[in-house]
Amino acid sequence: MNRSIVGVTGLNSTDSPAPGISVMRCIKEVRAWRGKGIGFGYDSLDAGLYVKDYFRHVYLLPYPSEGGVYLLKNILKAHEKTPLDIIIPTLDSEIYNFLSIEDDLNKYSIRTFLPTKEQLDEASKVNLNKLGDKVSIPVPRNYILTKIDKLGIASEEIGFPMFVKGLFYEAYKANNLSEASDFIFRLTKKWGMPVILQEYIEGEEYNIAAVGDGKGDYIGAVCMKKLFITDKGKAWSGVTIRDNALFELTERFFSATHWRGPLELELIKDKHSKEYLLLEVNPRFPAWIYLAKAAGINLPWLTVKLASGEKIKKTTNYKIGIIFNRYVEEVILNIESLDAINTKGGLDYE
Amino acid sequence: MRLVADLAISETGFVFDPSTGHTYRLNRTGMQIVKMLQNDSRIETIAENIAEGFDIDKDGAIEDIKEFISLLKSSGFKIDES
Repeated sequence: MNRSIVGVTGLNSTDSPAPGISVMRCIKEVRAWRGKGIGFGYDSLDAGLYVKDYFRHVYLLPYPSEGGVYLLKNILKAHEKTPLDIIIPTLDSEIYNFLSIEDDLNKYSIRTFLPTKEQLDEASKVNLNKLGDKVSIPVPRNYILTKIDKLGIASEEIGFPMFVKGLFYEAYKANNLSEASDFIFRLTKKWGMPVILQEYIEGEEYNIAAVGDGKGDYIGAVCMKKLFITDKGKAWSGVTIRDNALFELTERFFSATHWRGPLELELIKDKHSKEYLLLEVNPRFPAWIYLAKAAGINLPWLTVKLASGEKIKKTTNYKIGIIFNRYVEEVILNIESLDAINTKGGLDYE
Repeated sequence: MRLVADLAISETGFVFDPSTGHTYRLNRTGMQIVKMLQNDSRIETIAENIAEGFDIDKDGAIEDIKEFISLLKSSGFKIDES
């Protein structure tokens, strides 16, 4: 395992950054690890493709909309060159494709540690109400909008302000019908229907990064309070905290779902009731995952170990008051690198 | 009277609440009151301490402490008054 070759996807680093670079940073900082990091991007300008410190080889993958067959083909092409041991997908939109090729990857001894399809369905934004009941965590009122002409009825049910959310990504706060309508068009153009309309809850946002063992428990969890939130709702700064109520609901979540693999629970603490409400479940590591490692629990590395078949002891012991404050740095590359990514579909840094 | 919060307080009066992630700044008097409240102290005891340390009368200190405690409560802190 210490020599394992680990592939990570999700290398874009825009104002809504993918988690791949942070996941590999966690793994790279494991002292005992002597393996290699392999990066998989979707666009030739995904910044992580050019971060040589973390990745020895990088490859482009076909967009998730192309389906699992092409994903497998491209991963196996990379595998021929650099035999992969483990791959950690980090984007919501690709997890279904990875599940569809999980058995094929296993045949080539490429391990993953992912939720089941049923778990993924349960955690979908469109099933949040049902999930909330199952795990005994309250959720805000949700309306799954499949047709724009239902917006009037939906807005009466949810009220304003409300959040308009895309199926996989993006959320906007709409204060009236006109704004909601604009956001719906924007989101459906990009991600299609349905769009989720969610009740606006006044309060502070808390996130939990964790890895489930698939047997009703988790092997590690770190709670973070968002300190600075961008206009896209992304945490740009956050601090590790410990609130027993958060750990109790984490226990309930894993006990009820038997979730397997990484996830992020997004919660809001209602300003008035002081109650935590579940906003979303993301079936992958968050982009802020390096904070968990910095605080003492290296969740990506524990995932590598689990995928390798190692038994892991549960850990919840991490430092409180550790802050991340994100900054942006430009990666400089020459035109030949961009050429190689576009024409050969990959780059070698060794 | 006890402040039910496991607060981390630095020497400069910077306060971090590990259960919520909230941060606060306290002046010297505030720090002293909070530290005494964490150790389950009566208002009269805190007032005597403050009055002595800051050269003010005890009755005035009691009023100020009560006001400070209601500020703590309105900020969401639990005060055990048993």
